[in-house]
Amino acid sequence: MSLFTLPAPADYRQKAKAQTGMNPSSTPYATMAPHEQYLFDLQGFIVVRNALTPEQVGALNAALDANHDKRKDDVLTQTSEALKGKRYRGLYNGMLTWDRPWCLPFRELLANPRIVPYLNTLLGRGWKLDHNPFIYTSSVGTEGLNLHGYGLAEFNGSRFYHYQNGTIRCGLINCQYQLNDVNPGDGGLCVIPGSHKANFTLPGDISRYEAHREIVRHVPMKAGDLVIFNEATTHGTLPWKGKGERRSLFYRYTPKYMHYTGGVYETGLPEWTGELTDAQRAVLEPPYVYHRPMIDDDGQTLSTPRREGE
Amino acid sequence: MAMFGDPEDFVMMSDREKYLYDLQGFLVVRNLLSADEVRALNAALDANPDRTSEHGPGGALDGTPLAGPKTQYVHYEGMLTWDPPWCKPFRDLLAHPKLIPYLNTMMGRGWKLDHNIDVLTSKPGAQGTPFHGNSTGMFAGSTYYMYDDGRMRSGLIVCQFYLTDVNPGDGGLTVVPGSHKANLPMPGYVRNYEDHQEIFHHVTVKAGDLVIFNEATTHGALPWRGKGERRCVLHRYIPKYMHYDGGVYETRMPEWTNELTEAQRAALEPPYIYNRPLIEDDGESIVRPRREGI
Repeated sequence: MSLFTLPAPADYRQKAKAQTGMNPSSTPYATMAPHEQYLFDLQGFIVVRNALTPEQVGALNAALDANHDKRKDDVLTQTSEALKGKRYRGLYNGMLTWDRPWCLPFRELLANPRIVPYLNTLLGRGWKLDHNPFIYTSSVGTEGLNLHGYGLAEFNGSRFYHYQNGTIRCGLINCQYQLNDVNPGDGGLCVIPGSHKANFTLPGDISRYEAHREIVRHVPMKAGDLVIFNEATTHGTLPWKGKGERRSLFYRYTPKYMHYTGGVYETGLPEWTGELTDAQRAVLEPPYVYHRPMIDDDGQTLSTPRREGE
Repeated sequence: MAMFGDPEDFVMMSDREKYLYDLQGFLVVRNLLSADEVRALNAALDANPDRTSEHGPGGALDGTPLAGPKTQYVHYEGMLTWDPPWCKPFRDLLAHPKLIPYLNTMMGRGWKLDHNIDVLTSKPGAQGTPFHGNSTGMFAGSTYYMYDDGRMRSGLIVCQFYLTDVNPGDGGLTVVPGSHKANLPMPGYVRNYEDHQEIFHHVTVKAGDLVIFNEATTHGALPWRGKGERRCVLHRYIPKYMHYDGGVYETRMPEWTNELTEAQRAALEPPYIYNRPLIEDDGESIVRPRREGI
């Protein structure tokens, strides 16, 4: 079934015992190597070199080239003066249902064996896709994006980093595959290492990239590399100055019990719930974050802010 | 601290209640239900004896302090879709106005029902329930208690609305106060109440009272020795971005996903825990343990 030849097993495939206690597993499974766990715990992100083979990169780029008409401007960004550019980022989505064969290389990545040890370690097995996969493209002069991601200033059950007794656990994480090289000075993804553990709120001028630029790290990569970062890690995008086109492919994952937004599965409420009040029905809705109906103090009326108090 | 324009200026628990819940991992709310509400709920159960069963023989816990001659619980099922008027008092509990401050405080607004609602009953002779909670010494993203800068957050929580009294010595719900913050694995002797019984707290209530406890709080039940029947309605709630088990909403995978491998489909499934397909190291095969990891 696989379209591509997988990379040869390497030392990243360390076997480790699953957790014990109330939820025992007798089956060891692949986890990150100790030095990778150290780097992710320390920094809140990790670069995985050669996560894609050249053949995979080629197939993904060919699919994108063949669907250039699906490009949209990404106009929903927050961009400060320091990160302004001449043009919007390009945005592609819906790749999982593009016509064959263009959908296939994207479907291959859903359960990419190369990322299994990372998702197992960061989320526990049973991890699931969240949001929908999408691609950002940039050409010279494309604007950046303010830094965001808020560490542990307040515990957020959907976007967090936690370590206890040898186990890492994260909420929403981002997997960003590069389909073209990102060289030093090109722009693109930047992060604040260690910010996934920050106990204080991100200052506004740092968010706008107006102060303390020395704490912000640009992440150069080669085509085929992957960067995984915790959504709680402060991250943003520097304006694109590279000669070539930035092509970054995003897959987001959450633990098996979580759903943030988007996704592929469809939901509905059974007909009998039409007999309930709006508030009672709101309590029975599936899990999601954006524009969720929230029950006001009277127990009857609803409000639907874009996002509130995770 | 406000983030994302989040002032939390909605109805909340009192400072005294926050102190007690943060300290202990559970809270008793007296008289949450009116006498009329308790009466309606009891009447609904009495009118639907065919929706429950009798205790089976106990024995599974013989040799422990939790032993009893009968099984631990008898459940009622499907209350939200019982014929009117019997469904109504249960539907009225879903977003009960007196419950809102507690759920807002513990989980943030947008909380949702998890599992299906349950009614637990026990008759004299019912054995206890082994103690459990987040007992592994590792962080569980679905069952946890966290506190930062004046704001608490909980994963799955349990609300027990009592329809009959529970007096000292009766048995039933018992908790280990403070265990929602335990950093180390639960010792084996706690599971069956076999040592250090001074760390346990039996929760006595009157009909109409509510007990809220964090699923991470070590909890179980002592054998039921009350004169009458123990009866409580049990609702579980969870933050807006989480789903543990059961529930009312329905899910479906779109037809095109049949073109995928089992592992690829597994990555697209909705959130849930029990018997979920877990992707093996090869990225192709899957296993379905009842529950694994946290």
